[in-house]
Amino acid sequence: MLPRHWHIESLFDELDKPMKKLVAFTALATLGLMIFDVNTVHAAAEGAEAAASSGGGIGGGLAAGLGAVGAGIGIGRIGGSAVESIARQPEMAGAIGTNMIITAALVEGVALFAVVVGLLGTL
Amino acid sequence: MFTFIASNNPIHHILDKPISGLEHITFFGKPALTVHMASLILAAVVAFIVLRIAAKQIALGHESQGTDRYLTKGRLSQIIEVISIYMRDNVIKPVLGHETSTFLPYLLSLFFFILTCNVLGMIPFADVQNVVGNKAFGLSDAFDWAVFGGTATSNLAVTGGLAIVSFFVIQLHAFKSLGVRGWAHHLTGGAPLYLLPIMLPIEFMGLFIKPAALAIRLFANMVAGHTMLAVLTMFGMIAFEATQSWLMTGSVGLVSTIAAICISFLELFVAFLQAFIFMFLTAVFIGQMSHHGEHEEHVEPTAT
Repeated sequence: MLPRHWHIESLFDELDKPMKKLVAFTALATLGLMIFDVNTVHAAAEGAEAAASSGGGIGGGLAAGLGAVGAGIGIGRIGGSAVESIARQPEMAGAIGTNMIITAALVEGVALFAVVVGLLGTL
Repeated sequence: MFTFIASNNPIHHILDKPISGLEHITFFGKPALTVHMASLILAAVVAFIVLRIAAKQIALGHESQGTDRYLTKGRLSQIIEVISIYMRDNVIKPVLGHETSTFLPYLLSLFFFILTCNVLGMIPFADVQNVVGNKAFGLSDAFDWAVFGGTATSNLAVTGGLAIVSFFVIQLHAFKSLGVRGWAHHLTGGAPLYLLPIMLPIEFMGLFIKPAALAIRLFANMVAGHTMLAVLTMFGMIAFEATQSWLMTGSVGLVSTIAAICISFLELFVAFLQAFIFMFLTAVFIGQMSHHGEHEEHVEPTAT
């Protein structure tokens, strides 16, 4: 189920030289900026939300709703490609169906992480 | 009148509450004995009894039975045997390979225990106890008398505990099979040197986040299912409070009951599926920690 070759090294080696430098620079720059930015963002957020959590309801609803959109798109794609491959090879319907259910459960898990975040926002 | 179906808060039925009558026993200020704990113990006892009976009937019989010793008597044992064989041959063996027999007891116990917890949560023990207990002890309708019931796995502490056990199984296996240097090398994921500042923290956090995701996935699935059921059954109460007419309440209630029945079927399916996913992902994480030296022999899952 998992891809056989999933090393960052092999994906990285296939780029050409200037691209490799660009990717490495961007990665290190992002890491550096993240470490630098965390302090300033934290101070600003604390100043703004001084009162009791006022955006909790909206935040919770938005989190759960966007999570549902993502799950819908993801599971729709899984179902679509599963049905397509069953149409190509009807004798593999059992194995394809099993893998489809497993993958759909994993994608749905991600959507439910968003629901949990929404619950945390409203409660 | 409506408290048997749902209270005005759909989450009220799902949250953990102390065992009625034992609220005074506290542990650092929080109640020590809760309804989910009792349900957990009940699920463990039920799972142990059922699996023990099944194991005795599946096991090789006495020599005096002749060739009948290889048969499994009893329908429940046959179901459990079929499920176990399917898990072992089609799900765990392609992932773990020759380490299947080391981890099979843990993985199958995990599957059957989570399944028992999930399915026991579908039986409305707590609601029946609410009605009977309130009437028997003359309590007001606002108090829910319950000793056990509720879904044990709808508690983050329970799923977190299972995930912590899985985490230790995965890490102990990683250390045993790879050694400390091999484990550290596995954390780099084969990346070149200048990507290590990103790879190492992310991979290290991933070691903890993957079992945490297992816990949250199971917890959120159980809570979401029961919350949806509670909301569906609340529609009748909302209709009555809004219109005060029994005709409206009856018709809304009829539709919501049919929807609740369909969602209950979905919940049963999700109960099986989430137990299977927890076990399967634990097996995958264990297998990821030991696949060195086998890059060429990728076992294809058998298509039956």
